[in-house]
Amino acid sequence: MSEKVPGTSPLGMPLLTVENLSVTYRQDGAPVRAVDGVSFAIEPGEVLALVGESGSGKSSVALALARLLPPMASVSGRVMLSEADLLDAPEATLRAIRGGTIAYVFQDPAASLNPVLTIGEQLVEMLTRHTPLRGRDAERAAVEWLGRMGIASAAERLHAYPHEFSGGMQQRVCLAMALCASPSLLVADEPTTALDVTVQVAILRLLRELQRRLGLAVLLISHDLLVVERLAHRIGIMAGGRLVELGPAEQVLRRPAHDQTKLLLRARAAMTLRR
Amino acid sequence: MSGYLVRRLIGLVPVLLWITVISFGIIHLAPGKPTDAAMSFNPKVSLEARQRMELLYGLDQPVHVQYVAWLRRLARLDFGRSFLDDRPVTAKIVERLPITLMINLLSLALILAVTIPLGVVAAARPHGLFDRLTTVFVFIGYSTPSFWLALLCMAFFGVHLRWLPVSGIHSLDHESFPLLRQWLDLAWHLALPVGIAAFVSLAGMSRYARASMVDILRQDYIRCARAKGLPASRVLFHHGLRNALLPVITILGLSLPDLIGGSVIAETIFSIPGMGRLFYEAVMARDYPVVMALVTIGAVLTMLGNLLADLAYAYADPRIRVGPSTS
Amino acid sequence: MAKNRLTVCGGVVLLLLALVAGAAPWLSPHDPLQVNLPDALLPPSAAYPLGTDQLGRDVLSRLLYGTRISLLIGFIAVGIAVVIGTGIGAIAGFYGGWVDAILMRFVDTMLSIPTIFLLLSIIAVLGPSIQVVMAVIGLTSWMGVARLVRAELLSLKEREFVLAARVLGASPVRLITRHLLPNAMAPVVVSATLGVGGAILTESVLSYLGLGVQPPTPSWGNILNEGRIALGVAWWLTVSPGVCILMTVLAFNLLGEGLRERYK
Repeated sequence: MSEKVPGTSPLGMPLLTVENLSVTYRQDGAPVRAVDGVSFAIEPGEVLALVGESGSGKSSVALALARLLPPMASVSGRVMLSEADLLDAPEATLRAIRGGTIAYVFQDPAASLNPVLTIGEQLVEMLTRHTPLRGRDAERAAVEWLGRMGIASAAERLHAYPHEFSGGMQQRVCLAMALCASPSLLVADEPTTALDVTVQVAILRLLRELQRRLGLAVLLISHDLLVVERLAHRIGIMAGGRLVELGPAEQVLRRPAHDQTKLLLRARAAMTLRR
Repeated sequence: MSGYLVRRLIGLVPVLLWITVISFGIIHLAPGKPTDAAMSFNPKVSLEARQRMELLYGLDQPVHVQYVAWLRRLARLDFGRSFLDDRPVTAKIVERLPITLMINLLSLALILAVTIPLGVVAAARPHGLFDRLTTVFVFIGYSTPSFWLALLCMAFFGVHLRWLPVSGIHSLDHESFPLLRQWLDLAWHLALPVGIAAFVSLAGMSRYARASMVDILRQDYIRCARAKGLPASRVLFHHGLRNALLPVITILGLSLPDLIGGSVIAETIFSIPGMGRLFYEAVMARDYPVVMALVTIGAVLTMLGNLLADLAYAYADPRIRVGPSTS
Repeated sequence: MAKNRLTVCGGVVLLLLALVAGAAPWLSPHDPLQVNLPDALLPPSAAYPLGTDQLGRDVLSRLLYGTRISLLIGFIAVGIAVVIGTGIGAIAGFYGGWVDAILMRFVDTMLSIPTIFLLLSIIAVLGPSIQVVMAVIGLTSWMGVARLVRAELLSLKEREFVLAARVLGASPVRLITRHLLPNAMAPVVVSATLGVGGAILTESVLSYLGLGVQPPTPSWGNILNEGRIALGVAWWLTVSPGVCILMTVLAFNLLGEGLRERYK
């Protein structure tokens, strides 16, 4: 597949447009505004990173896109996918979109996999739901996808349970599950945070390779600019529920406009040891 | 998994020993000989029978010698003879065991059939109307004396409405019924006792099933399943319930003693000829061999039930069945 | 929140019960022990607000005095259970190792024997009376407390303030009583509150079976037992004692659950 360049979709239209998104959590006490009027767009094949500290609202934005927030959260604004507003669409439409068009990968791969089902069952379930593949064909496709994710002896591994895998392998399985239905957008919420450092690098490399090969649009959520650096085409900085800066990666990293960005950059620099 | 089984079995041995110590110890708590009380309650027991029993049980021997003698008889499943009618205790128990087991198994089935769907529906919409109604119901049920409920049911369904029988497990002329009708007659008679025996456990288990389900539904893999675009029913049952059942199995195992004990009340109130009622009658008549035997057997049954529950859990949870990672 | 209101409700009901129990002599229209055969099995009326039993005794008065018995037995039985349970749990949790193993096996055993079997067999041996009932319920319900205390101690004893006290040379007894137990008591209080409800239920079962509080002393359970014979005829003998038990146990359960939510 050719390497897709962001912003050159056939119709010249963004894949996903978020307009004035706000999320409020109602708990026992006062309501908490986790996301406040966030707007951005993602072009087909582009990697947009949302970076911010804990509590900046970035994960809530990610979950809000496919209406995956818990019932205590109220969402306002618009999330436009082609002509449809996902926040308004009927549940049936959303179910088709989840996994089929917008796929998710979460932070803790061990917790994201159902412990009592084999990974084969969980992969095939995804294929059965979103593709015409069934039975043996689905199994074969599952094995192929596991192979693409760099998992050796995939055919035997199909019958293994999640707890038999290491963290890195579990995340590869989750990626396989997310991508096997060929979605247009992958939302990755802190995909490497729960992994060992050496494994993080491998997963990020895999992610970059897949993105290039499949022309995938990615919304990458992270608190770590280091993670985001190599992958992102554009970077958005979130603080206090607001999107305080948004621009091409180079620009945000070299010539930050907002204080929050500068803060994050300084923290990142401080992490690098100087001789 | 076989290693797990072996370890569990070995762990049972000290518990078994403790059970025998407790059963034996209880009876010998009273001052005087265990046979004294039986005598004063039961003039039917003659002097010769009493002397025979004292010799047989070695009641003139020191306590620890008696204990060892009792243990040896236990190993042969010889529980002695009843003070009341001098029949072997084992025979009396064997007669009654099937009925009690049947009532308990039916209770268990009823509990599972009610609490699991209840828990699932309540957890699917926490704090919704169904959930709140169920919680109220459960709280009240938890606080209701089961024997009182039995009396009310007897008065209402049995006497007032005449829908259900209130005693025994057969109608008087059941011998003449065709087989199907005999089964139905049995079911009809067992309806109230099984319901009452299940009642108390029902309340507690419903709460637990709901809590377990709510806990599971909060897990990441449920959110992941939703993010995969799976229909709500599949997320709830295929992903959610299968995990929620695991702790439910454990709790079921832990509620076995109450279940077995519950049959005492149910059988006594509804005049069912089971082990529970045998126990009650033995207690009232101070028939100690029967009492000791039933305490021991009751405890052993519970232990076996717990073992079964543990094994079921170990089998159902791949993390235990398959063992840790082999990669 | 509604939950809080329910908890307060439970507490209020209990206070009322305590008042009723204390003021029973003044609140009762008749002497609960006064036999009056001509007036046997009368339905509720002005003279006898809840009717009479088969010996002509006023049911209302007997119920009021029964409150005393229930509360007394409930509290003392739970007191015994807490003392035993805390003791065993503390020793097991503090010393760990084989002491813990043996004690926990004992706890497992006690939990394996159906409670009713234990209760009835001990009462069979010692004979039924209020003291025996209190002792026996206490002796069969300490296991939950023991496990709770043991769990708390196992985790607490690794904490810094304990290590500090040890370094200063505190003796095991002092460590347990001064430092560890006070921090472990919250779940025990919850368990005890719920336990009183359970103890009252158990006492009513025992009295109903004739192995608890012996007549003529009125207990809600034995009033139900005496009312059993007249089941179809005298509904007031069956309904009112049961309602008393239900309300009391429900109140303790609501209070206990409310405390549990608070302390979580």
